[in-house]
Amino acid sequence: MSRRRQNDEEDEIQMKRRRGAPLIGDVEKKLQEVIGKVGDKNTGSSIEANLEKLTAFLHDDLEKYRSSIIDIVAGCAIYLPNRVTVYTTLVGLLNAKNFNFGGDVVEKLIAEQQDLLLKQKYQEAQNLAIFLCDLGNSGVLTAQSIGEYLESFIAAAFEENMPQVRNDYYIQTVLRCLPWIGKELTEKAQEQMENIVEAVGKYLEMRNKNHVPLLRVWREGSTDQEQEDYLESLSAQIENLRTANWMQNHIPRYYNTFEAVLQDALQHNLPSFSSPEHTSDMIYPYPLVVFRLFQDADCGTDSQLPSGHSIDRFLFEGEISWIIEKNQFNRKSCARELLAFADENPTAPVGFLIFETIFGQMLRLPHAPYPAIFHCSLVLELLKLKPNDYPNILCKTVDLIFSRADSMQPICIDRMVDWFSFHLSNFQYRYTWDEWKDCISNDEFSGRQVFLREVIEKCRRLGSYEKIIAALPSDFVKIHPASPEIRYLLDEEDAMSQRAETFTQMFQERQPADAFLKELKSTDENDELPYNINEFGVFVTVMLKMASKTYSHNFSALFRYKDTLKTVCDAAEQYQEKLLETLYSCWKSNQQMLMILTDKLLKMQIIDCSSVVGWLFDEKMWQEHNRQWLFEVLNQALEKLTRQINVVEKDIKDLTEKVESKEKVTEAGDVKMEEETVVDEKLKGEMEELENHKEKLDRMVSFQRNLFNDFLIAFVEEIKSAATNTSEMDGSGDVGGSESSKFLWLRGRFCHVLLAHAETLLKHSSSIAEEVFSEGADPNISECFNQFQSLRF
Amino acid sequence: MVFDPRTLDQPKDISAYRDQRYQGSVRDQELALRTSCTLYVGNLSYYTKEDQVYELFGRAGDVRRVIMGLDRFKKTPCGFCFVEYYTREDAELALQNISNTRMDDRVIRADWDAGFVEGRQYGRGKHGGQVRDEYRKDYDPERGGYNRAIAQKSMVE
Repeated sequence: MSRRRQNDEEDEIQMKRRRGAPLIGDVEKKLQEVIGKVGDKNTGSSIEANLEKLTAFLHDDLEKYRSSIIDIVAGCAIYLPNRVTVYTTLVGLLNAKNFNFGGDVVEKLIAEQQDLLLKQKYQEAQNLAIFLCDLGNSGVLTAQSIGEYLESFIAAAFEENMPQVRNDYYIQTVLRCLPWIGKELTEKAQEQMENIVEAVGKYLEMRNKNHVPLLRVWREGSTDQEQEDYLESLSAQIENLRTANWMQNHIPRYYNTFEAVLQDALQHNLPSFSSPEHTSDMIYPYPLVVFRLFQDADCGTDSQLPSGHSIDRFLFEGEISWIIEKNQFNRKSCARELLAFADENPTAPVGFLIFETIFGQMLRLPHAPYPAIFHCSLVLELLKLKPNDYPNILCKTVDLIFSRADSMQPICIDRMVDWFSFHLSNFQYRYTWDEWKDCISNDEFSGRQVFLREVIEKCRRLGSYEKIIAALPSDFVKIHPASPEIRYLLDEEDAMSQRAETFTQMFQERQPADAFLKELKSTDENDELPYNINEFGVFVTVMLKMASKTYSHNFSALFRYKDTLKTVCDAAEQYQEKLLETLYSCWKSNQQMLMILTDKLLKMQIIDCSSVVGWLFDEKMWQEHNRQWLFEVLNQALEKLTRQINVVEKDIKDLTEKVESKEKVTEAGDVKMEEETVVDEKLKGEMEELENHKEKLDRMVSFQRNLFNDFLIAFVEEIKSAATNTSEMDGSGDVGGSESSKFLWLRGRFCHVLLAHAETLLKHSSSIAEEVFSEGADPNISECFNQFQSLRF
Repeated sequence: MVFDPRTLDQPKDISAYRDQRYQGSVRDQELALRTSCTLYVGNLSYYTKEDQVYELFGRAGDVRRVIMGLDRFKKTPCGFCFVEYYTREDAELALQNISNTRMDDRVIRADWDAGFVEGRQYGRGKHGGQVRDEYRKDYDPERGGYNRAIAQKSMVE
């Protein structure tokens, strides 16, 4: 046993080395622990007392472990922003005792900030800006220099010919710092403060806001909650705060206790901020839209919910987000810390704010900040920790979101469906389903019915058909999912049934892939195609039928007959279409099977992405366009293509670096003659490979561009036709044209596709503008595309 | 950097369980566990189906394959499975967020696995199912009722 343990330890060390993490000694570990914990509450003594003790402790060791302590403090500043005032107080106290230490910390933080920005870690760099500003409150930095520091952010935002998202980031950073340092600046750096306020106002006036409607969870005007542009909303709140002479109750100002010590400390000057040079491959954070779910009346508690426009609401949201960010890999500690935060703030209904923030993140557009499954499990964990209160809050959340579902963007409905079905699968699919039955009589494109229908479908997949049917009220029959059985359409009357029998027998005899190829060869001389396409359909049907028991059976059938399928499908595009059509007709009632098998066929390269897209957007499939699965398959296929392109891009980058470094060596001329030829040849080989890769990339990118263009054109046509013919047939209700729920839904799906592939499509946006939205495009649709384009304005 | 949630490492730490029948050195096993994309999933109901596993674990990423654990003799599900992802990251996400949630109303438990090898899909208990079904004390209708020892005894009586 001990031998084993020893090995474990060795391996651990090995692993750390491999990962490049430095080995840290016991003292550093201890330091890390005590410094990391100083902000904890409920330790028996106040944070102020703990800070005092820690200061004394660290001061003794300051010279010996200086650089370690500085590193740890920097880590706290970047990754524990919810404790910012704790650590700025600590640095203040240490600075008061040791002036150079304060200076070194500041220097380190500035270097880290630059580094983070170069690595495009914008959130972390912003945390540091707040920390640096707050050092003005704890007597480390002069207010004057902080004012100038913030002014230099403003200057960066006003640089010419820069993307708006970059400028937004700098303005947002300044605004986010002001709750901490605004008062100090107003008192001691009045001139800078005025400049900042004026410049922000000017900036917001000239800023493009086209993107806002596209990022709203709910269509404009459909809820009583405004979904404002985040930057504007923040700016307005800061303005209110300024008018109120920076009075707010949220930030715990630990340094105030130590004013006597801190005010005598020598202060440093914070150097101006210099923004890293912008390059075209930099990706800045997307603009945000404010997400608010609750109003005070919803909470029904004694404590007051800060209004949607107050800085307190915003600060709460910010702090909750920080706690989530910090614990994004551990749902249990995340839930624990959120709960502790709620307990620390009994004066506000923090539980409501926690759920509001989580669902705001879940529904954020274009992308949620964390994987959906993390939010799913976090919600479960929260309910577990507070079983008396939080289930009620969650119910209110779901009710509110459901009641607004008719005006919700489809991409957000999908996310809610995924979360809610997972959630219910942990609670035996029990819910107050009855309360939702009204929407069953709505038309099939209404958001609420779509939501309900898809939740039920996904519950079926997570549990079973029988279980979900048993959990639903009897009058839900209209939206019951289909029983997920295979449909085998070849009956004895069918002319093809004889062929089906032959194939069945061949499968039973385990004949090799070649034998099927021979059997499928076209015998008709007039046939332009090498294989009989209808018989190919029969072959696929029989194969699917025989493998229908489980996914494992299906996969082994696909692998066994891969050569048959691939040879036929490579012969002409029609076969791929036939394959997908056959798959659909067999597994129509089992969407999960459709998704997984399509994905497998793509991975095995039996079919390609464009045939999948062509199939899904063929007119025959329009009837499925009110379902979620189709867009899941579509987005998965498109995403796969993007990932393949990314792999090639990365290969090119690696190869380029390799070639360049070799060229340098050769140029240096230190290599002997014979070695040189070897190196030369190798280099030549690599350069050739690089060229091949580049050609491949060009091919793939233009394939992707054309694919998107073709598909978007087809999609726009479909949406247009939804606006013009709204017959009673499709159940789209009384209102016609661009107000009908069908039109709005399909247009929403169009936005979904844009948002889901935002990074790729923004690259191709000029080509799309030209090919898809040239003259005569429906303004109702091209409007969405214009909004989309300004995401990276 | 200190306190970076990405280097805090808790989820990457592997549990203390080691497959005692692993073919290879301890060192190989450790490395395999730390680089594998495969999870062992336990405490399933005998009635849970493969497609449910795909649906649930597909929420964390692209699943390469699912291998259902089978009774060695009866070739019927016996309450565990292996889930193999394409990437380590997806497997980590599943471990962090799906382990200890419910499937078919049972709290399922996931752990790293050194990788599926043919033969491992079978239960290792004397009766053909999992060893734990021979020792557990509770009555568990979704896993064949009482444990095998008690069940046999009561049959004799």
